[in-house]
Amino acid sequence: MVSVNNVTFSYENGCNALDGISLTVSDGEIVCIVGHNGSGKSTLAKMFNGLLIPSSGTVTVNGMDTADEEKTLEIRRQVGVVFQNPDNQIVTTIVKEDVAFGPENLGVPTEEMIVRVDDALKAVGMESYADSAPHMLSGGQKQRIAIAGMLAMEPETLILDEATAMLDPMGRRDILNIVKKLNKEKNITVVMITQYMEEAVFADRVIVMNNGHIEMEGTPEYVFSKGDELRAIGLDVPPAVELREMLKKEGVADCGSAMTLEELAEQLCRSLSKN
Amino acid sequence: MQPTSGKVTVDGFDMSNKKQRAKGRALVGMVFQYPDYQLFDETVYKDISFGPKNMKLSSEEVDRRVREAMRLVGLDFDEFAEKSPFELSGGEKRRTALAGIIAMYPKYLVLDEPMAGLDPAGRRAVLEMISEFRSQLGCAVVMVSHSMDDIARSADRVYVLRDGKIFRSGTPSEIFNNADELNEMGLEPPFASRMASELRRRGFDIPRGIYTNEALTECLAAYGKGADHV
Repeated sequence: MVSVNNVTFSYENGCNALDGISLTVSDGEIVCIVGHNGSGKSTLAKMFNGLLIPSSGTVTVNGMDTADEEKTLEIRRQVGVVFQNPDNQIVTTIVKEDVAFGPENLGVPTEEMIVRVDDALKAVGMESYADSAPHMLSGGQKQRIAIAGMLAMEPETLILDEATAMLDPMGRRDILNIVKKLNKEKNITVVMITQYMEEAVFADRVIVMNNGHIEMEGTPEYVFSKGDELRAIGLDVPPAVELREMLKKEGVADCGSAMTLEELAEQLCRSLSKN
Repeated sequence: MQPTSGKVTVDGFDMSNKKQRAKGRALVGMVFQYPDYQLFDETVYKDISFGPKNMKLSSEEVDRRVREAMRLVGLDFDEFAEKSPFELSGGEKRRTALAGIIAMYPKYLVLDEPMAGLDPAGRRAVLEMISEFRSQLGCAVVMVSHSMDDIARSADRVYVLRDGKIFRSGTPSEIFNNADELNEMGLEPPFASRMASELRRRGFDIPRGIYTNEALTECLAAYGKGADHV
């Protein structure tokens, strides 16, 4: 469980990136954080594993305070972060060594390491690339290696800080499917920070950030029923919701709370055949 | 980068010829995907003025262009001019990189994934900016993008590359006609064309060539009315 308690954070230039944020992420949850560029969501992500320490307030990971330097290593093991730029996260020249880098630093014995690296690569569908050179991989494959590197540390929580932002649609789909699978099968808690509203549709809870505070919070159904509020703070709704809104406004069909292409198609079929 | 074979010319300047290349390059402004690699100076102002200064323009002209470029990309002069590029958010960095290029008044603006990493408002703003450059500066725009929705909104002409070859070329309507083919390639056609093909699969008679929400809504409205009469 990660708790953020009344956290503020200011960068050196004095601007308040976080302004009194409180939230709790429960075990096994998928939480999506959305917000415009500069809304504070990446700053918040860096709080979760102590990459940044609050100016005031506290962040605790399973009761451990991120400000306590003695706990830093254990916190970083429990909370893995995957960042936006795949090229900045690859540290070695062979995929399996890259995945082993984290656990090696934790002092995991060799035999166990081999098992962990194998498992991690399988979990992201990259086992056949174990001996490849990371720089030969696509952006999406690099991000999968970065996720595998985190998995090899056996974290409880995975933070994806716009990890799909630089990927093509197929790469994004792959990462999303892997994340959903890890959540379901390994009960890994997921905090996803994203600019793509359609990625938030799969979350248990969506947190909307604006100017360093939480503007709105709730299920995807609730948050994406507030299209005008979201657009007013530089965000948007998923494409299916955008079409749903237009169909309703033009009096063509009321498609309820459909948020994906399949849901919307289903609703449309019903609504139009009723006529 | 030079071709292994074949030739690239920009307004007739042969880009493989050292002397001509410099002239050709002066016509082309490039903005890359990772703005971090493009920003280097102490302040936003200095960074944007670097290009125009190298063009040996008067300092008044450089100042005018920096201000104009910042206005076009939506960076407030008083707020950002003296900031360090490294204090900026991802979206602000990209705007700065873009401003540095347009301050040189390129005839051709080449943008590699200009919307990647931006929030929805940022994506809309960049698309609007691009069309404003086109009308104000009269430059041609070549945009590399994964986002079919963005392309649907802005392009006159689309080239689809596959395995290093031009796989398809045409207007957005021609390209997005075949949503399934793009899907197979790992590209995501605009939402409206995916929706149209899903509805077709479910037995709806949706005409081909629809790739915007507006067109699809119109078509479904007619469909609903048509069904009334049955």
